[in-house]
Amino acid sequence: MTEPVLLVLLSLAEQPRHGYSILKDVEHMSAGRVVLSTGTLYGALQRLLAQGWIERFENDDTSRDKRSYRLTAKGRHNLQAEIDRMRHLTRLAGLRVARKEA
Amino acid sequence: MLRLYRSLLRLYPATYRDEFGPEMTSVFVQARQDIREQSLLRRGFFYIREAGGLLSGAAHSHLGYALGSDWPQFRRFNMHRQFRFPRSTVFLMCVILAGVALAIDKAQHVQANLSGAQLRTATAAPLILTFIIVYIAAAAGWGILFALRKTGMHRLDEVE
Repeated sequence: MTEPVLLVLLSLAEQPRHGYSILKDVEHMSAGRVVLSTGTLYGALQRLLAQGWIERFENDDTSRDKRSYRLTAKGRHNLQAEIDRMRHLTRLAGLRVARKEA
Repeated sequence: MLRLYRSLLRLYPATYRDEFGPEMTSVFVQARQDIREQSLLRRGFFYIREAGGLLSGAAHSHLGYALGSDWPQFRRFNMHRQFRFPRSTVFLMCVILAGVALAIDKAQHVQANLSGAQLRTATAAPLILTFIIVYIAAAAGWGILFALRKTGMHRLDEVE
């Protein structure tokens, strides 16, 4: 899983969001390092929808132009697996670097 | 710009456009409002990023529809950071392209002028034309080499 996709999933893990909110949240989470274009964002959203990791739903207070997205159980499970993998990798990296320095 | 954005959206497959087009346009309009007060440079980067995102997104979605699930997912993001094109390369490539287009246009103009005075300068014309073509080819070659250098291609030698 790549960083922009991970950030999109993390953004949706907190709460359901519409496109613009995801765009701003990704920028905020990465401290401005990852700035997605609308083409890139919707390309990722389309693939995540096709894979069943996220789902789209209509809010009562939003129009067709502002549909919201949320994580599915499958998406949350895969996100958790990715976080576990990264946690393991970070711990391993810390150990290896510490051993080298000692 | 909104008109250009909508024109670029037309490059997407119709099904994709129907599904996401209005939403993408709405998000683009909101994002554009955010950068309205910012510097010209930042606005320029914003529009270039949006246009680039739409062009690559359209190409990916066409390939995705054509190849189905065989198309590698998220391939665009998987490139190793060291081998990604720096942003300046895109600008440089555009400048080179514009330069080559301008040079071709000038060469055609010179050629047209020479044909009128061909009788008077029958011997000079081929020499001038050859010089122009060689000059354009050298400039384009230098530009390509410079752009490749900017991409970091030379660092491939350092990879084990």
